[in-house]
Amino acid sequence: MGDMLNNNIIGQYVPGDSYIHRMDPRAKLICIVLFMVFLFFSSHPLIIAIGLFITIVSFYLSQVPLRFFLKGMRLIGIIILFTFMMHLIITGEGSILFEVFFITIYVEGVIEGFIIAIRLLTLVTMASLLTLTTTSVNLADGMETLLRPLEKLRIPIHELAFMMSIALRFIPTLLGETRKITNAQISRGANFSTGSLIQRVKKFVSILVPLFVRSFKRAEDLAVAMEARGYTGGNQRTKFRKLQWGWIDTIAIIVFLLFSLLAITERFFS
Amino acid sequence: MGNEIIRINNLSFRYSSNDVDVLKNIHLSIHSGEWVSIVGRNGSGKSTLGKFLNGLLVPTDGHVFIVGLNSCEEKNLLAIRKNVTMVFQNPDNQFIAPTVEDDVAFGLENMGVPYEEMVQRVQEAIHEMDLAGLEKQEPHRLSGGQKQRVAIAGALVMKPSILVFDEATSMLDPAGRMEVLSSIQRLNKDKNITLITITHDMKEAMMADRLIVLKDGKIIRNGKPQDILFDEKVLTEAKLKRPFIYEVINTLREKGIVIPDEIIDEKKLVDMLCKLKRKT
Repeated sequence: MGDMLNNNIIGQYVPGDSYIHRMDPRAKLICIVLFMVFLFFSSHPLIIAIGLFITIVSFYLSQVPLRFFLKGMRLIGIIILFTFMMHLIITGEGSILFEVFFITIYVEGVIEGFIIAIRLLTLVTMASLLTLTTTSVNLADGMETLLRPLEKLRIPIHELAFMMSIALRFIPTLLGETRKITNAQISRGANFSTGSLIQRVKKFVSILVPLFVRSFKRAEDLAVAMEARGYTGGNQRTKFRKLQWGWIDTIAIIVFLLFSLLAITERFFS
Repeated sequence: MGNEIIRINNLSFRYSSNDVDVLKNIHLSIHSGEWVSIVGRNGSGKSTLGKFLNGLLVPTDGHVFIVGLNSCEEKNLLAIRKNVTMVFQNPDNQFIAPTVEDDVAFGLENMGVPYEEMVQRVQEAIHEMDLAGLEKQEPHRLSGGQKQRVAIAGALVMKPSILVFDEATSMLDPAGRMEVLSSIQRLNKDKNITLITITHDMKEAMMADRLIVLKDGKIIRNGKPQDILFDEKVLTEAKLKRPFIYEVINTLREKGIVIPDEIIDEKKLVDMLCKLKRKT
């Protein structure tokens, strides 16, 4: 289970005090959404290059160690490479670059493949930068404030965000518990490392059931503790955690807005 | 001793109508500044009784008054919960927010306390419980004793007049238990907060001013710990075991050695026994 978490860069947090770390989660979320939407508006090489440039600058500013990042990107790198190859092979028209046996590679295919690969790379990098530099608590807070207007449509945003923050808070606790239960079952003679896939999945039930039962007990205790401390929902609550909007956030928003504008202009007016 | 702060009149309770009574005709009066310990074995109803003290359960039979407020009335509940705060057994399952300071602030957020006041009160409570430096820490990086102290800080930040500990030390190791118990003791002495500790640990119960022994939902004894400890009948009836030191005192007394009542800890007993030897 540890490996599964370590090789996946999305969702990990790297503590730090960089410009990107200090940004308001709301600003980060808005920037990411703008970037993701408008990166697909135009396939002009200039727009893609600007996108790549923004990504590289953001990455540099975040001070996330490059080696740590590359290690986490291995799996995604393979997917990107695969997509690139697919474009090379599938593209069937344009000027021929070269031919190997029955495969013909066209210049258009190479360009297309590059554009897609860089798009994917910048997207994944930006998305992982968000989680690498933002604690899950801040992320949840940011989402809650940004989605607040939806409460007018009777969508319970406070409750959803609260549920999310409790879920995040219990992940390490439940991982620890899973480890305990696994050890307890192994000490009773269970074997989780041999057998076919189906057999192993079946054996996993002996971990899942106790985990579920104990989670229900936890949920009940938690509900009692919350009630005892006067929790009655989101109506007249005040918030202890405050989000702070700074000049970095304004600049970031302006940069990403300019990028969006450029992409729109290229798409519709050229 | 101060004014009456908790009054329970003829309280009976069952979880569902075809169940047996968990509590039967409870009459209880607790005064401000007192330290009362509720003891009894599993299933004696002691935790259920605890839940009546801050309106988590509301009586259908009888009345509960907390600082003069009737817990049956819905509008009193928030005021009652402000006055009576609770610390529960499992340190993990009562840690609601992602970090120490957020968790301490949780109750204040619920009461709608303004931000500036909240920051100040959270800081005070964190210092009060010796948690300075751990403000940003996540729960899974804390020890059990630390987590319980966070829970106490979260209770204390409400500036309650009554604190209820529902087996708050039973899941801790001896070091964590001492850590929590010494904080509890300090709160009662320095801040004059009324304490109610629900426990099955007799050693812990001995720290209180008054013991209430529950058995099958009934109060079978209500009095000074020293008196109850040597009351063989009550102890066997409630299936309670007295701490080792009292076993020693009791056996010595049976052998005809006179041991005065004020001897209640190991050091005093050893001193007394040494003097006894010198005399003979």
